[in-house]
Amino acid sequence: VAVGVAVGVAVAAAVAAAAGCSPARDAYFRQPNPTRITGSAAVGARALVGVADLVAAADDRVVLVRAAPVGFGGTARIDAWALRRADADGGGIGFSTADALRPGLLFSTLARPLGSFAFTAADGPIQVVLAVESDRSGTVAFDSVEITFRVDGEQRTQVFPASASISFDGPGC
Amino acid sequence: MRSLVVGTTGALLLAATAAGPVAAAPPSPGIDVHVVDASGHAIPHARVALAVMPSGRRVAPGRVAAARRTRAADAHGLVRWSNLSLTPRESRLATANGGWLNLTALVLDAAGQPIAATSLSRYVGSAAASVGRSESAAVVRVPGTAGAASLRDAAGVRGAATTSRQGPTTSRQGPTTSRQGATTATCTWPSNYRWELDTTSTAWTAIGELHVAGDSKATLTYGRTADSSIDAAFKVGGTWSLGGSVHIGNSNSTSVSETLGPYLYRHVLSRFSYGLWKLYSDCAEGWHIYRGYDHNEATRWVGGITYDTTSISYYDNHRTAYWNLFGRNSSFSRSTSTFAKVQLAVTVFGVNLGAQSGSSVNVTTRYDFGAGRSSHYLYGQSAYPSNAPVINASDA
Repeated sequence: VAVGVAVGVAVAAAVAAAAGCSPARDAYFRQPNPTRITGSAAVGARALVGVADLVAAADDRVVLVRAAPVGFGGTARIDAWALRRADADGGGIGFSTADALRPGLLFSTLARPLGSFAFTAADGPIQVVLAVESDRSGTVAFDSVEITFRVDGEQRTQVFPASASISFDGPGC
Repeated sequence: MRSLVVGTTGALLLAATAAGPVAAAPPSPGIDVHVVDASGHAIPHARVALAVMPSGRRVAPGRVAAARRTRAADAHGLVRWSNLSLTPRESRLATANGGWLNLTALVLDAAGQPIAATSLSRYVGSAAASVGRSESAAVVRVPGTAGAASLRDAAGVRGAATTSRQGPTTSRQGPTTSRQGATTATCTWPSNYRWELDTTSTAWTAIGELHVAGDSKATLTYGRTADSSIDAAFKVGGTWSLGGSVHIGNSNSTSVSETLGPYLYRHVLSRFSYGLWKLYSDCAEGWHIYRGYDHNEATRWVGGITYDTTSISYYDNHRTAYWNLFGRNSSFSRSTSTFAKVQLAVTVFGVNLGAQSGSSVNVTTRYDFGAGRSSHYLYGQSAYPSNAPVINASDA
């Protein structure tokens, strides 16, 4: 996910709302409480951050298009993944630099990239996880996450109040 | 048994802005009162008297909360105040309590005698996060065997007042002259119902709970604006029963925080002030008479923080289905919209009251995980940590 594009989308959405172009609409997914996660990772390592749990409404087929941080600061490559909680023994990611959720459960084998990931109510909760990777020391942070998805073909967006701050340290730090 | 269902109305005029729906016009504070029996059938023509209770500021014994608003129910048991038209003094009371107005609704029978009461809270401020949290319904159960008959036909007959602490010879000079003794009086055409504050007490009250596993610590921060709904209770004939709740939202100079270390599972407590109110009315005989109703409700958040000496559980260090993994030196914090209700949050004036805390940025939980373990887990019993009413922790 290109961060610049994500920020651009967020700004465009805000401008559209301010101009009255975007009619008020109920959130499709349950809106969680505001959360904040902090953690640290080595430069070049991948930090996983769980940012949202999504459950499709009955009879709907939801396709996840993208997830992008809003209020982004820092320099990083960010990829978005979908994790079917049922495949992970009901579990998921809070913050981790390890691949194992627990012995025998590897994130890399369970998660699927967003873009065309589809699910229904029968799949149960789907966790959206951002994989953050930086090649330089410093802090990478975001205030929330905007998820774009399609419900039975109609594209929608929803912002989740999941903020995070990740400190990337050089070797030996 | 009868029940009084109290609902609220009011135009919630949300105004969207470029920053999102964060600004809201103050709601028009209206209230619907439905008088029903235990089976939910409307009881027509009851009279309901509303009193605005002082909350969010220090109050002293002798303080009076008059039930100034009295209105009769229609044939469907409905009493509607579409707009309470708050007085400047009442608006100041709400402001002192963070925009929350606490009221008591008193139901009177045909003879003008009180037969039921409940507490309710109504948010009249402008914070969007709180507008949607105003109480929508409250129920009070009334001892008695009368069915869903009209309460209008016998209006105006003489009624026997319940036990008086003053005795029938006491003048209108006020209840502070003598609260001793217990006699029975007759009270004709009772009027001017009001709650008079008899006693105040400060009590540690549960505002949340923390569960901490190994190699971690947890912190609950409360305030500096309070945000708790606390049960209210009414005593008739010597027996307390719960009746609705009040919302405490006053601000102190600082927030308070409590941090617990590994393997502690405790309620976190802060101090609130409570008032024991007694119901009085005037009578045609000239008496200022106690009507046998006592009322116990929180009046304000005092401050301070500690944790309960009794453990909530002795071992809940086992994650279930709703868990998230946290690695070394990470943290998780959540500003919660609702904590789980603590059923036994406080005992005050001899009655156990429950409490429920949480909203926006006023109540926050934070977990810090150490470097001693590669895996730490937070979990909920029925939802993931971002939404679970209670966050549990596990290190295995």
